[in-house]
Amino acid sequence: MSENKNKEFSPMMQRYLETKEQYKDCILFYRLGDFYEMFFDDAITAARELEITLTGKDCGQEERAPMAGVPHHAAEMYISRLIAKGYKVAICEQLEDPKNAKGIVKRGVIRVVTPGTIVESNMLEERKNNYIMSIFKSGIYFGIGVCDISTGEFYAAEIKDNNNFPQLLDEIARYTPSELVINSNLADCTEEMSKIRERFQCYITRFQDKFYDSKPDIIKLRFNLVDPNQKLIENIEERSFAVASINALIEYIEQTQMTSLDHINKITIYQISKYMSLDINARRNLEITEKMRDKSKKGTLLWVLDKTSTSMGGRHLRRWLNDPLIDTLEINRRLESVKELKENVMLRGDVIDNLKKVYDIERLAGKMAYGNANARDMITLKNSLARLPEVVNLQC
Amino acid sequence: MLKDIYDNLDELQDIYELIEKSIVDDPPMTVKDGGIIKLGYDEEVDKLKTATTEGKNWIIQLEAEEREKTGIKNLKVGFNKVFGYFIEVTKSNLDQVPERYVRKQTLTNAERYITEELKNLENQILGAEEKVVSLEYDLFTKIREEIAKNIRRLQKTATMVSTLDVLASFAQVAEDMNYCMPQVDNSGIIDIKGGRHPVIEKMLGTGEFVENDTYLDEDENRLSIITGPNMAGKSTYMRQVALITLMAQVGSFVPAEEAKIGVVDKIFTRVGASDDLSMGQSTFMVEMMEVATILKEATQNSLVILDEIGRGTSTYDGLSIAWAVAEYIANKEKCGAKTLFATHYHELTELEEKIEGVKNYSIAVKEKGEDIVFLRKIVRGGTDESYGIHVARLAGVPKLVTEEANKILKSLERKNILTGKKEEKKDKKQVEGQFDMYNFKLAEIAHEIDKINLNELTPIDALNTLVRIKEKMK
Repeated sequence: MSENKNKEFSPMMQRYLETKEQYKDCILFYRLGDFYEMFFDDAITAARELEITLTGKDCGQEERAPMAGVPHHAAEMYISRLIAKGYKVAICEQLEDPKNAKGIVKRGVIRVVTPGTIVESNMLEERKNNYIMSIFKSGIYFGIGVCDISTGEFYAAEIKDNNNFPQLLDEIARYTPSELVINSNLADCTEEMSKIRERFQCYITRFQDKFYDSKPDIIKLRFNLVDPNQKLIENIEERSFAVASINALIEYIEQTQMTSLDHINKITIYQISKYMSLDINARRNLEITEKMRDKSKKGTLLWVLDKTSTSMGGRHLRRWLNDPLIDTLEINRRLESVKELKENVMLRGDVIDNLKKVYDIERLAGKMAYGNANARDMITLKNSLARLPEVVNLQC
Repeated sequence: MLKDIYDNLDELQDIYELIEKSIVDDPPMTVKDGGIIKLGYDEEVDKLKTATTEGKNWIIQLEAEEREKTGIKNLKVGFNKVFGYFIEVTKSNLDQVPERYVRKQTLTNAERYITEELKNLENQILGAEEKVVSLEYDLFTKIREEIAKNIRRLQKTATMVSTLDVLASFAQVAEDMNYCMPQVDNSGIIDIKGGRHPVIEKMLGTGEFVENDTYLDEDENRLSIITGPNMAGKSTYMRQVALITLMAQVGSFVPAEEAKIGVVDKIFTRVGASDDLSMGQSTFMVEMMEVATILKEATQNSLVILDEIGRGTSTYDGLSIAWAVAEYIANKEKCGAKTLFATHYHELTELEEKIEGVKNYSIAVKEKGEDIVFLRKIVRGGTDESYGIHVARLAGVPKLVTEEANKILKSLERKNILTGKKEEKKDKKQVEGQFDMYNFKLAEIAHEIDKINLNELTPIDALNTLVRIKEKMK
């Protein structure tokens, strides 16, 4: 950008630059009519990564500003490609109808898309959760918060034993989040950070420390805080590490989504010792959900065991495989149910037949709350709900 | 669990009803162009819709009337987004166009006109259409908000349905693949009869896979040393045990005839360097870091899989490390985890006699003259043959090379560098106490002396070397 003060930028460009200033780490999609335009370095990057034409726009300076654009109706595809390549995208929309606008149309960023905050179905893998994880490091302890914005699931835990860092790696491996949000305490640990980068392919955002607030007041009001057995958690004050990571993650999600998040209403706070601990090597070597060589599903334990009929069932199975239990009571409850369904062939057949006609109620519900469900989604939801009475009436 | 789902599943039929009565069965993708709300759901929408459909009839009527009035048979009333409704007359009929027609647009072979009457109709129709579209959108968002208010119920049902889905999937796989229900408890015993590797079994097809037993407990059978040739299935076997344990703790049936699984708190695996060479130069360092983690973190309740520890370094180093690691893990005070330890160092089979809780196993091999067949069956007892040369032959290494290798092997055995009494032994699977740490130290020292280049050795170096050797003898 030229520092030429002789000439002012055009009014539109001034507005653009003001907005861009607030979203320096993002590629800014700036809505102009039927196009999202990008300027300056963003335009150069986008032209390269998306193979779109780089042109220029008069901006009041002697030189034209580099510009590249995509049509608004195809924007989703371009955004998903940028996300896949490891960029964040901020979307700036026209906030008023140009017909009624006086002067320059009012514009504002309505959402920031990052790898961990995708909600569009065609950008998500159907049978896999897309997690974003926040980590709060304080001294040698950690608090973690994990959320799938598309389904509304939210988990949190604390790591306060020995060998904290290996345990943190285990927890990251459990979720394989697509994005990590970390505080400066962790970001400044070069050795630990390089270990995380070596093992996991995820986008890492360093988030301001002030958002890692350990006061639980707001989350107590806004969320159902439960343990894995759905019992309300009373002594949340004692889990300040978990609380700090939850607060930061909520803040980050709100800053990027800028819309209703009613579907995120329950936070499950668990003890790490509840689940079998599997380090990343064991997960890889045993090829539980992905092959070592090519990360594919075929040839994994998940591949053998996945006869689920719905994509939410597919995600549920993946979670179970990632979180083997320790408690024999709970394990045997599952085993008894499997036994019943195995022995009662008729029941099983009917259950499976009905489930095959059920769609992803979980993500559809998320879309309803998020406000991006269309009428077709409603019909899909209706058709899925239509199967439920039959599923229940099958009881022998 | 099933009962809980059946008793408590919220069928959400109120939401079903809401959508059923309000949204048409085949709505468009876009929500801002109308065509969403069912007839009969909202009076206002119905009224406006009638107006638009009727309006369209008016247009058809007007078209017929104009044809009659002007006598132009191919006169058409059309619509486009820029001009709205118009009357189109082809060039050949222009002479019949009445004066009240106002020309709007000229095409190559036709002219387009409007009339006052048409404009009035248009206002009525478009006004209603515009209204109905925005009204439909408002109603749609209200319905969406109404559904969103029930988000918690929807989520709860979704969780229950997906749980049922997973349980049914487990049941189906158990049936298809002939799995058994494991007995899961806190006994600390892993007892698998006729276990199979779930993935490989499925790849091969049922019946092809050789079954194996496993027994590990907290006393006499904590650590199994598994010797046997490479390629014979040691790694598969160990992974199989880990996978069966994991499956049981997830709540799935397992590929076995019978299985008793005492829950484990952690599973560790360390797989030999040769299996993931892609990791690069520092492979041995990585391996040792992983071993370090395992030794630090494994508890008495853990399951540890160690595959060819110490491969990434020289024979002596490797053997010493493997030996010491096995000793450490087997020590109940320090670790005592249930462990499967595969190694090609058959010297480690000696541990069975030295340490309590260690048992030897090997892969059964059938010798057919010069050739051997791996039976992929785990049997009690160690082996002192590594069958490396047999494997080489199987893999198609030229005979000249394998024969030469055999000769070298024989001469090495005669030199008895590593195994003190090798030549006295017959070709038996039984392992005798032919190796101990003292001999091992001697071998290592011999190796070190062998390495010394006397031409380069300064007196001070010589002294230092001697100090090192003395140190080793301790």
